[in-house]
Amino acid sequence: MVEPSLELAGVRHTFNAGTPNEVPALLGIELALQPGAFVVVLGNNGSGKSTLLNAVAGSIAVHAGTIRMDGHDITRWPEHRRARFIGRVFQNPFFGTASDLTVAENLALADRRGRQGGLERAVSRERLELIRAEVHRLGMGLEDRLHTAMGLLSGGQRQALTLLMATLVRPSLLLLDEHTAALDPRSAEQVLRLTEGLIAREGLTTLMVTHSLAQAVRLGDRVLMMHRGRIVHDFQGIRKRRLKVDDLLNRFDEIRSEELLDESAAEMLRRMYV
Amino acid sequence: MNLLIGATSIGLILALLALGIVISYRVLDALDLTTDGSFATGAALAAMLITRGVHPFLATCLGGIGGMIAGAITGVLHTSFRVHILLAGVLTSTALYSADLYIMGGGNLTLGGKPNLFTQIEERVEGLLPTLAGDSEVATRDWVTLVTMAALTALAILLLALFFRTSLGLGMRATGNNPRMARALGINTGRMIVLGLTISNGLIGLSGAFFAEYSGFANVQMGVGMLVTGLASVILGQSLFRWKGLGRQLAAGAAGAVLFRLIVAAALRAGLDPNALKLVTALFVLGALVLPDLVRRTVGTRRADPAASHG
Repeated sequence: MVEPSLELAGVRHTFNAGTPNEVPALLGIELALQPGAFVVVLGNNGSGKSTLLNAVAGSIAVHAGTIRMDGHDITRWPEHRRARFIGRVFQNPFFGTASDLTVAENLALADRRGRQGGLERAVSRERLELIRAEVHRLGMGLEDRLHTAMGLLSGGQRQALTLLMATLVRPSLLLLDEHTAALDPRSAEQVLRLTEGLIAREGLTTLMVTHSLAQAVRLGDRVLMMHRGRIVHDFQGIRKRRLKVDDLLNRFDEIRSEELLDESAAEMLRRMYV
Repeated sequence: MNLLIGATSIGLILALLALGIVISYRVLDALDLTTDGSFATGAALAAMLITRGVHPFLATCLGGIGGMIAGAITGVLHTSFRVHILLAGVLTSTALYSADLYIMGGGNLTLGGKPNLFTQIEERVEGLLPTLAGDSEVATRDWVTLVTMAALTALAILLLALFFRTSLGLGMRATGNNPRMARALGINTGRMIVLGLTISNGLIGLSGAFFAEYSGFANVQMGVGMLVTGLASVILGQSLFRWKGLGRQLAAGAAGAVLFRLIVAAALRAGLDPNALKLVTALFVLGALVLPDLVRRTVGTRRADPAASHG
């Protein structure tokens, strides 16, 4: 048995814990990702899928459970320390890049992901050539704009570069947080193709959150469906390969009808006792 | 002539302050209220040490180190104890007020006839460069001050520009520009903020030390309004010289400090009440921050109208 790249055990998190506004977001997540696995996480708003990603990345500190990465217990590690293992692309294309820095400067930082910066020159000549070659592979003509401020590029261009930055140093885990949701359809498709290509080429272990059922069917080798802080469906192997958008829609309808049932039951109880 | 030289000298001394502000306000995107405190503490430390007979060079350096410590304290309060950056700065500079009183043994300390860095350099070069004082109206000391400060400012700009091209410096810029991205790339943003505020306030403390030596005294009130003065300098410089690149932006900030000082000298000469100086400075900064947006909004709507009718 190979050691999992990522392993979550009993992970719980509640927002505003101890206040009247407390919202349970993760209710005991158990999950193991084998090296090279490409897992897509689906769920409605508030299902906890983004919280799951934030918990793995270290943007939030979970209240219970353990998170292990390549055999290290990273549960208490701050976000910047986890960056050694994790490459991340955000939903908002402006979150993943620094707009006042040039394209080359952004990539130079990514080329040192997880290592503390020293007093050596950040954009050295050799590194610039390496960056130019990598950016050239994106096929977007951005290799001629390495000294342009990132803020002058479009959302799609910035998201493609963010993806490149997240994988420039090979991550043990790639986190994609609805990373095409904020793009126009053409850019979204372009970024999605890049994503597929990169993951396949490098064999990256990936955890991708999406709203899009079509993406869930098309990408990855495993689909998790989350609802109210729990993983309620887990499609793997042949079940995942045979998965259709309609199947996923049916599952969502099931969840919704259960919820309606809950609500009508609550309503009935209210009428009886209140 | 003397007035011009004097104003330029003070401007160059305050250019170090402006460079500190560029780091905190522009690079880290933090309004650091430690500024007023670290300026006065730099002045107080240098003045106290010089009156005790410490070599002026060492005294000046220790003034800068005093500023660095102040900046580090604000940074740690903000990053480790999660105190709001404005409050952290206010707390540090308020505490420094008492520290300054203890350092100077009172609210005011005159250097008397003690040699300062500028007089020491003057002694060294007097024999070597007699022609420097060719203009008999201008004392050698004023020239020495001017040249020394110009060289120091240029050196500081050069070193900072080089620093911000290193991986460490780039990490600091990313921290100010997009902390979320910085953390995702493994940059310890808390450490970057502490380091940035340390460097920034070190420069500001140095500026205070030089200011005390130039003026011949240190006063506990010396730092009041220095943040706003520094902001005014940076905004003035960077709006006049819209240079690209951080090195040039640093230079623009320093040039702004000199220009601001010249404008102040001219305004005072033209009869501006010195008591109104800080009011005018504050209004200038307010105007510089508010007006561009106001203009854009009014001009923007006017421009949008014909465009809408075309559509």
